[in-house]
Amino acid sequence: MQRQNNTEPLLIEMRDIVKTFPGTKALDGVTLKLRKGEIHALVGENGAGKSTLMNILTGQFYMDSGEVLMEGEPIRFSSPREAMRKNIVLVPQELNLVPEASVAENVFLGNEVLSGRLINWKETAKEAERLLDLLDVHVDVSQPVKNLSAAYQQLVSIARALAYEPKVLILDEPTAVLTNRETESLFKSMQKLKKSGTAMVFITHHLDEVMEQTDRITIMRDGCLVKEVLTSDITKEEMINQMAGKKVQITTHVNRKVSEEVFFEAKNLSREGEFHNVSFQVHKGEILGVAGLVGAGRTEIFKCVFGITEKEQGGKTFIEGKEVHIKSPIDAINYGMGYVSEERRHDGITPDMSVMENMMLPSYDKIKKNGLINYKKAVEIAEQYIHSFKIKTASRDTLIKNLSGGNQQKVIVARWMAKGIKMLILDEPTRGIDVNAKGEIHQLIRELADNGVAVVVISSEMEEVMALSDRIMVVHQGRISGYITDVDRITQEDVLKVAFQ
Amino acid sequence: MNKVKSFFKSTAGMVLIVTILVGIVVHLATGNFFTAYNISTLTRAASFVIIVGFGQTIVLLTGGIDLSVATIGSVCGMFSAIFMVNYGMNPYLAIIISSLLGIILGGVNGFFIAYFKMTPFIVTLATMQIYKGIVYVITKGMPITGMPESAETLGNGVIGGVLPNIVIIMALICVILTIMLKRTKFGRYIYALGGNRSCAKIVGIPTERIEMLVYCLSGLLSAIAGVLMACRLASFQASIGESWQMDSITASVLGGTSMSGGIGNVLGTIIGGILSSVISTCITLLRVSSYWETIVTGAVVLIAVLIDAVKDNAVIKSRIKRVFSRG
Repeated sequence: MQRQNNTEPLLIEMRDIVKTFPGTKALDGVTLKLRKGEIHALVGENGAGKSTLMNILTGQFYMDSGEVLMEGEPIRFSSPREAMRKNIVLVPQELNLVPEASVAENVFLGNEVLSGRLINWKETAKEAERLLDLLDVHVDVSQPVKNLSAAYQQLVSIARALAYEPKVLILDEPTAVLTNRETESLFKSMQKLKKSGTAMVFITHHLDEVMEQTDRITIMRDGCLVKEVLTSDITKEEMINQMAGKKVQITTHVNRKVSEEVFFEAKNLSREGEFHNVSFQVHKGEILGVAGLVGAGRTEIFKCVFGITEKEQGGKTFIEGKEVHIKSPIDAINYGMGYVSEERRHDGITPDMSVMENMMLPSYDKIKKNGLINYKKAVEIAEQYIHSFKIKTASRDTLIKNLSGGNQQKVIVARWMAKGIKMLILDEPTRGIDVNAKGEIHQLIRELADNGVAVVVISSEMEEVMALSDRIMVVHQGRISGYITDVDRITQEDVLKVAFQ
Repeated sequence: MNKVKSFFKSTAGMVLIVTILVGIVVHLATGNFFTAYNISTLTRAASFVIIVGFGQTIVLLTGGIDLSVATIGSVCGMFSAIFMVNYGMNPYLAIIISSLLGIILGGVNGFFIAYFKMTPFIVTLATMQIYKGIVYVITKGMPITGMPESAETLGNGVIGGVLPNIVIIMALICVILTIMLKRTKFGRYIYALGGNRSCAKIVGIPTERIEMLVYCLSGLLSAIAGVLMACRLASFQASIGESWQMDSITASVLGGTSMSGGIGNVLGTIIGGILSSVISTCITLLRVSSYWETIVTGAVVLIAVLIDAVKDNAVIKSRIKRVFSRG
């Protein structure tokens, strides 16, 4: 790979950008320089202002002050559409597709291939195929996009951006849902684009990818620019410390004592097309890690355990040795279970409710007095968790949507603590969460288990599973392919070996 | 202090300011607006729509909509008249029984919406037609007259010559609903359901039961309004509350309730309902042809919602600024 130095001509220059939102200064005089044909990493913790900066560049937000130059000319967009006309395109972190529309239609949505004033469907399909080909995706482009896996859907969004022939391509966490192979082909196409002169901004939490793929790095912290540096001039550890502003301890494995008592047991659970004859146990006070590839059926198994989906005939579940029939989350909660979903925005939080209310929602029964909610008690409990979990929020009455991802996640964990549960299922508990908050959440999970709660942690991040788990259950293609018990003596490769044996 | 400030920044606050300004302008022009008689008449007229609006607000909070409110009011008003006139039932008993009937009619909506996951708009559109038909089949379009005086007093009476009974009933319902929405589990679950249904399920909220109950409640409130309206007129006509479905939605939305659920309260609905009533009163006071009433009401609603949309949207704000600075 050919790395750049600082000699290529400037394509975009953002100077002294300031942006305030009600109550917070999101950006405070940030400068960003993009050169032709470079891959520029934008790194920082959640809430550092990366997305805000990119939203200003693409016209989603207005800046309060500062200026943006493109090839020396000042530019100011009032909508992403205007930015796209200047070939500046953003691929957002969240999928932004119309599920029922075809793959081809999604690729050219808002940018249709026309003959005269009508859409040319034949050309649309042909062009969509060509663009997806660049990303090494070979699918029937006439099928609805909802048929594709999350990873392929992500690649379709990237193909859509490519259709604008971008001079500047911004990729916000593009690899979060991709498997290794797909990540590889994405990187290959990024290198191709680079050769043709496209400047790319690459936002990611995966610092290894940053070290491997990028030419230059801009590090941000708390809405300020920390520094811009050539990738070859910095190490991963230095980068982490610059992002956090202090030395960070990456969590390491701790050997814990686990009770012999089984809290939850599943026997022969199956769901057509999702998982088959799955049996396992979770002990009291144990952290059971669940590893496996995306789409292996990990999430589906535990959705079924929690009663979100229904198990097939023949499967049995036991709690403390007694058979139980869990038909809905209400049943599961009554048996003492809690669930932290992998999609925080979709089913974790109620965005327009306060931090306190999001925390107390399942616990109102506990603090009722004469049929009315005793808010004095609610405030007491909420304040206690905000304090002990170090939740960064202006107040307990702040709407949860205004918190960073890591803090929202802490509120959700606190929700189940306040409820007083005996088993907690966490699906991707730290996805998209910055290094600092991640360590804090890991600590919370351990404390929970120390108090006797049976904890299940589903994670795609091997490091996380290996750091947290007392025992790892590996799921492959809807079956349990094995367990790893000597967690402190294994490597990521060992887990993969179990998965594929 | 902060609470007062944020209230005047909210939709309901803006609408209240507009309402008062309109009142002041008309008072200056005619000298007849801020009189005890006018205020009394105005609030009495508004109270019926507001009571229906309470139910609508609660349905909107869950992210649904209830188009059948007007015809539920009509069916229940009809039964109250039949009970009193044809069967000579005690008026108060008749009022209570026919109001409770609204729970069943609303429950039909809730049953299909909650348990069969049908779209609220379609379900209530269908039941609206059915209930309307029931009234015409039973009354053959003829009015029912001759309701007892005690019923009329309840609907029409004024305490001390200023304070109409119906306003007191409306205020009482508002207090009960506010406590319910703010301080009970049921109330908070309504907001949670409208705010994020998937999250509500995962935290163990019985979403189906809550949704069912919400439509029952909307039915009950519509029935109360319909029955009291019949009492006030001392007779029943099939046209009672014809425009309530749209008026109640208008009152809710002007009061700051979000059509997509999760945000709003019943106090705002009072303010929203009063605004519509103020407009129609002003048209009378200013001796403008009453044919203009709906045009003016529509325009005011549009402007109020426009101001609301613009005030928190920096992009539109600066776009407008640019247009004006260019000119």
